[in-house]
Amino acid sequence: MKEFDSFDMKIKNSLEQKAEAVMLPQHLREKIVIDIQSRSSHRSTGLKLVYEKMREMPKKYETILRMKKIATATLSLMIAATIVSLTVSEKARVWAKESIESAWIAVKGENGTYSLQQVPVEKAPNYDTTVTGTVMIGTKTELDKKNPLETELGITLPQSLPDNWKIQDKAVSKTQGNEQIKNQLEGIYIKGTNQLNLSVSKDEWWKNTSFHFTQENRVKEIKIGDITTTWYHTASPRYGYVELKDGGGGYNTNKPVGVDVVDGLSWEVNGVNYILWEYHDQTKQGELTPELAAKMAESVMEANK
Amino acid sequence: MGELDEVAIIRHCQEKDMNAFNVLYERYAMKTVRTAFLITGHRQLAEDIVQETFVQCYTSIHKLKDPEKFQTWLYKILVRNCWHFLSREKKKYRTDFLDDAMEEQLKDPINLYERIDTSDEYLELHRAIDQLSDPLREVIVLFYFNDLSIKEISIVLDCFENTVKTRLHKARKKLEKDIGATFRSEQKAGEINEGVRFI
Repeated sequence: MKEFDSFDMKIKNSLEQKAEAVMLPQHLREKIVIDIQSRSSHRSTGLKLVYEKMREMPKKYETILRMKKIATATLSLMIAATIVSLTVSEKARVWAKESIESAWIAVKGENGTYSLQQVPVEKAPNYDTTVTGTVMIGTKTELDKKNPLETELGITLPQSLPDNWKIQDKAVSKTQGNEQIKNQLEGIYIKGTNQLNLSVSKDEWWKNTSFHFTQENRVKEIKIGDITTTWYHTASPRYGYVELKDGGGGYNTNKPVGVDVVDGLSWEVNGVNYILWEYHDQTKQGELTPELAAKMAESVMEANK
Repeated sequence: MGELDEVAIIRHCQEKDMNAFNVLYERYAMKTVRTAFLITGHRQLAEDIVQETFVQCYTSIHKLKDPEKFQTWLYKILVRNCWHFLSREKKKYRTDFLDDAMEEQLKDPINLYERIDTSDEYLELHRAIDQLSDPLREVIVLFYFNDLSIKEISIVLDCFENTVKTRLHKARKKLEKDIGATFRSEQKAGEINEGVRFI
């Protein structure tokens, strides 16, 4: 027990008096829960699974694992690149304060390589999507079962995709955009150290994310029977993650550390929207090509006839 | 859940039990918000810091080997976030919280010693604490407001106990000087005021 003299008591009372002016902010708990869930959803894009898979790999992959860990922990393909929108999560708002007048974008050069550029914030894409409430399935028992959202959507996520891709996990998440909360089902497929995601929803949520799957990024259409699929190609800044020692968490860097390329194929069947996508560092070769994606889309359609 | 002791609640949290996490939040949210406010001097920043702190708490609590040290561990995260957020917002949020009336009182050249015995003493102290450097203000807040021991503060700040003692001593001397408390006796460097004993 501390024994205070009168001056110490004055200091103590002064601090307590000053602190009493501050009340617990309303909705702080909700913000925290949303933040937790949104960060958890980053991992639900399957890269956590890649880490786990890569841990079984020989030592030579450790560097890749470390780099992916740093990149992925902060890569927010689902959270509107935070610095470009002041309307997303509180965390993004704090980041936005850092350079409130500017934002980063990836710009394609003549040689096909993307470079990072800082532009006035009004010239950067403005997306307002926060992914919340992601629940990973994970266990083999659960993976074999039909998830309730699959039932609700009237679809089945195939256990495998052409070219030896196997399902490693399913994820169910809510995407909160400008309008309303939407449910999204995601299948995470792995082949070696690579990963693909198959996202399914009744809403085209990805058009509001920093995937930039917008009209401007459409490359071509591919017909599969009567169904028209669309191939997209885009790029996004990737932010670094600084981890504090002793498990105290970490924080994202304000300046991007690289560029990720995102490719995807989207289609719609009976009111349900699908998008098969992959993202990777632009310095590496991706697995998903338009032809392979079309083949995979066809197998998904077949599985759901 | 509320009837369980804190160790049990933390164990549940480590298993990602959100109900248990809510209990921890209820117990610590107010104190952490006020601590962050006292350290940084800004309400909105304090809210952002506490939000980040609890998120990190949830995601990293499984690494906490000794649940009985939870409070110290939480404050350690909190203070680090204060450093991080402050370093980016340096001086941007260091505002003077005193309103015009208070400002006028402080400019009044009436004998400072007499003022100590009036309600202005807290205003003086508010201002003086606010004027302390970040490291000194942190130890003052953790020691007097959060009632942490020297050892606990050294863990939170990741420094030696002697460093904590030195900072406390410096901070108190500066506060005394700033509010003109002439009734305190001279202290040798590094010694803690004899009126305060540490267990």
